[in-house]
Amino acid sequence: MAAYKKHLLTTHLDIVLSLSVIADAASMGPTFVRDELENLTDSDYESDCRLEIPDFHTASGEIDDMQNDSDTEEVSHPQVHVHPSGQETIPGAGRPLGEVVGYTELNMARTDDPWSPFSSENDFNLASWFVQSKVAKSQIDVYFVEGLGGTDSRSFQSAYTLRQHLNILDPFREYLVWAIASIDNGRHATTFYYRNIIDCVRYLIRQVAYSSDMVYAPIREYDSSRERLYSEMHTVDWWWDMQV
Amino acid sequence: MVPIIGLSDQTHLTNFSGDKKAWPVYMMIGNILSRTRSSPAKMPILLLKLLPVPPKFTGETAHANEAQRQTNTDVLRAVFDLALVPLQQVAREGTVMDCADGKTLLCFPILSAWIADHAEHAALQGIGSKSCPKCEVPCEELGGDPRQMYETRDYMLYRERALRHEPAEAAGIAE
Repeated sequence: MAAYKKHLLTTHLDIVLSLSVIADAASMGPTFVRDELENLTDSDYESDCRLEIPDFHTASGEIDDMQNDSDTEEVSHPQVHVHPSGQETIPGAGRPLGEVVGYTELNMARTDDPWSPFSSENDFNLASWFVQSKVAKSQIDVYFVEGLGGTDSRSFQSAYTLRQHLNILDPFREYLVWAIASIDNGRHATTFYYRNIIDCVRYLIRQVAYSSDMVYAPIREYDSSRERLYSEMHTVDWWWDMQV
Repeated sequence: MVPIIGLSDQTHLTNFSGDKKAWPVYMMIGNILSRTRSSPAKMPILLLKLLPVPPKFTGETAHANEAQRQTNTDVLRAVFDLALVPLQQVAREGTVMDCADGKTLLCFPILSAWIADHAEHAALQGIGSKSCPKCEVPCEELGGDPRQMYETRDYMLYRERALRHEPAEAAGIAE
């Protein structure tokens, strides 16, 4: 399901871009977006069945952010209530070394065919409903066997193919493979599972869904009377001291 | 720099079939702003590993319990060594990573914080449940004079002492 939600965050952004409803997004205003975010944070995994609409607002907010903060070092995030009037950062921190191979191609593909790997918006919405209402696998199969979907042709015909489609949505799955190790203390052996921590970091840091909320360098923020403002992790001294 | 934030807690699953427990360890990265990082719907937290839950103490003899406790500590340490060993070199020398904005950056992933309750800290760091996981205040002086400063715990010292016992082999870890 993680892949699906990330897809909503990323592809929705592109859909919104390609449909050029940026004007609407701007009129909503950032305060509204913030309210939605707080609601989202309060909700837990189980009761979160109203993802679609908040995500749309979130996505539009992210577009707003992206246009304003193309430079991550200038990030000014909405959670600082007193708007910082001065900032400084370590020169050269968070300096890009090069371009990610295949990044533009991936985003182009997302914009050209936003519903991929599903064949149409209708198709995507059905899958979206299956996922969000947590329909059991067996019931998804029943849906297709009984022909409840009518004569519409679908790009997936079973719970299995739906799962395959969802897997395609997450192109960096290979970072998240599990390694298995076992412990034998003489009397009984126990197996346990772990992931490579570096690969987990790689996976998280390249998620396009987070791109508007990423910081790569520490900053020091000041208000108008030169008082330090502390808010996020990158505004405190620890990060500053650790930065090489 | 990429600060890694770890989280772990032992969770009780069921009383049946002998008190089953799960012991998940999660991770997230501090580069994501907290509004996204704290939102479960955006999946910023990855399950890093499932720690092996040690068997219950048999309670037959005090000596057997003590031996079991020692094994559990060794196993825990060995498992963490195994999982965190890729960090050792990369944290110092850095590695080039693909980032969300389409650029490649030289990244230094550093384990920066561990979110756990006190019982969990005590279990992970192999200290008594009455001692402070951060500093070396004796348990009688807890809640004493706040101006009194104590040494920060030096876990590397404990670790080196433990490494001489070669816990990985003692615990019989195999990949």
